[in-house]
Amino acid sequence: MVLLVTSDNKNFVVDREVADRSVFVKNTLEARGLSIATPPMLNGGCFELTSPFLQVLEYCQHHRGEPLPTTDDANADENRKRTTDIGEWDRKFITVDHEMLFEIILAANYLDIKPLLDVGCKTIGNMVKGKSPEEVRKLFDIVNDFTPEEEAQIKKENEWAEDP
Amino acid sequence: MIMSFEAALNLSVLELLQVLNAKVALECTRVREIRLSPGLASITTLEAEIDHLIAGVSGVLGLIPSLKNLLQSVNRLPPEILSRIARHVPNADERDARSIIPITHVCRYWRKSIISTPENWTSIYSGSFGLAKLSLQRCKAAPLKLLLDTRKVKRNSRFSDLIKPYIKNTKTLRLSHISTAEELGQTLQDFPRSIPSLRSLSLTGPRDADWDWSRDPCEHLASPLTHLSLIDIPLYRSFLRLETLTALTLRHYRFNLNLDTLLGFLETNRSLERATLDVRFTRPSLRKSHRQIPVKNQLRKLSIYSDDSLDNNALVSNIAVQRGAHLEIILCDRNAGLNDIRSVISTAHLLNLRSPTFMEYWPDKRRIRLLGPNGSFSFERPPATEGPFVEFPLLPLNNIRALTLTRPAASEEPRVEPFVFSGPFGISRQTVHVPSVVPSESRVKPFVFPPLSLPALETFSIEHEINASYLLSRLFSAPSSYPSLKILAFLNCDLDDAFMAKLTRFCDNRRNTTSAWLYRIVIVDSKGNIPNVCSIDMLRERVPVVDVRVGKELPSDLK
Repeated sequence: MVLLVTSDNKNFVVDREVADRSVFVKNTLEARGLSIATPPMLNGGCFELTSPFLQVLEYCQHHRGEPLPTTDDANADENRKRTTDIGEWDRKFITVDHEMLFEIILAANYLDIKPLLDVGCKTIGNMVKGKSPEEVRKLFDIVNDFTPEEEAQIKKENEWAEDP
Repeated sequence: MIMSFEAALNLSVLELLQVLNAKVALECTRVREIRLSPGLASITTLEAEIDHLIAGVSGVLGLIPSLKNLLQSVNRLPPEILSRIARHVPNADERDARSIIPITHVCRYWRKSIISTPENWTSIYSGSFGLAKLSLQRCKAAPLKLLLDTRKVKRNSRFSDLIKPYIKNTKTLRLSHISTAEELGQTLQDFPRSIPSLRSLSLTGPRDADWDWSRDPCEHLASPLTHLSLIDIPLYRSFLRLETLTALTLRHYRFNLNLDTLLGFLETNRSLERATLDVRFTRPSLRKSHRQIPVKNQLRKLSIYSDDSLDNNALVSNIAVQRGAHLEIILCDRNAGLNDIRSVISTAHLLNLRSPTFMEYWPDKRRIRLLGPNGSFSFERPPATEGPFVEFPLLPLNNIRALTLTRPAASEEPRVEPFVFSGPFGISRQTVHVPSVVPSESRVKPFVFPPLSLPALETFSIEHEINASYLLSRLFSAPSSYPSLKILAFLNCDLDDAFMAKLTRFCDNRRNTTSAWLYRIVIVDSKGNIPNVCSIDMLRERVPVVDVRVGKELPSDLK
């Protein structure tokens, strides 16, 4: 068992197999030979920690024992990135509001849980796929901050993209 | 009042705007007081200054909406994650970065993050010159994925010039519609030496045209390729030198291969994990194969397309896939009655076989179902086919260690017609007609195998009124086909004296003919129909552990 202490001082006791889903935690434990890890200095004013961490733990519990992606297989990594399919369980798991989705992604990025990071990124990728810039802005409440010069450049790019 | 730059930094943006406002008012006064005459050079200078001012102001003010965007939660994601998201936007089969372009137009932060990541721009396709040019500007020195349609490259000579400086960075090359080896050289100068980083090569030839392929277009190939795909392109000698492949696709409709040549090639590439084979073999090579044992490598997925059972058989029987691997056989053999049926069979599924493998067939639905422990696979029978139902394709049963045969749930009431089982071993076609083994009055007629050989089978369980006597006679007749068998278990099989006598003889025979003895026999019956004590004692003289009990289930270690 491993004790994980979050930066807002919440304790989580989890199986080593679950904790090892995070490459960050795995490496930390291996390097220090400890059974206690303080994974995240995540809050840093960015987001509340406990809530996404619970979600991340749930994901790690579900996927415990599965082979971790290897870093040396560039093609496999490429294939993993390019496919937009998300498994049934993962899809339900990641069906959360935007705020939580972004926090899960940030946590997965920090804790180095690549499969979870991919699930999050694929989810957002699927959200924006096929949408116009204006529709994406509306989806995430973003304003158009391009200057007229930049707009002209963008228009030119669109014309290039159509050049056969 | 003179304000230093440092002091100005301490002001809020609003205060700075007030300062700016006052400063611009002062400028207006200054300009108004200048005495100007038309045509003077000072006017031109002033106009240029004002234009410069307008550009500067709009640049500064343009940052204010960006400030607002930074408050949005999506823009709190770091640039590398936004970039990663962008990589998930194109579908897997998209050839270029076309679908990434719109999301670079969302806002400045997205644009900067996505454009500045070269990996987002590495797919270059000959179908769009403009987009290829834009992508090449942004991909810098990142490894490229180059997709060239030689017909389009021929039509648009600008494209060859465009990609020339970047060819050396190509890691993945897909060339389609190649007509001749010469054409390949024209499309990519000094190929393959010009692409030292090449790791994945895919060549597609003309489907129907009859071209001269006598010259090997890749004779100087020296790159350690990991992926090779040849579609309507011969397996040249240059490819046969490869030893580093992890994925191979061969589709040779028009080129007959020598079986041993292909098997030798597969054997040389010991790291091969995925293979898709749609090949035809020369008939003499099928008859005169020198292959003694199946090819072994790291295969996790083997897909075989074939319109000929002999070719199919030759591949399945000579390639050993890994435990847990995925075997896919796509049959197009009309004679086999499975025209265009796609069957997906996982050996992992077979490996841990804890419940039956049944073939069920509902004549009215024309439906075939293969039942397994983790679900079932269904196939539709083609409407046009009639007659005996299926020659089931060549299951690789080498890895099965435990097998349980039982009846399907009575409620399903499937009917199984007599069928033909084709053996998985050997190139020559071996066919065994397996009769129905359940009393004819039963409406449920499960298919019960046994296949010709199960070399890894250790535990064989028979449940629920299956005709155990028949099965035992099958085992009895070919003990060497089950060399690893150690445990026999019977649940509710109504074992009579004749059966027990047969079982005793089977144990004797096994001791005499194989080095692997049975060491455990388990007999469980829920109604207490247990064989008589004498016959059990006779078994105990031959087998170290004989476990006979009343119960509803086999011992937990056998489940």
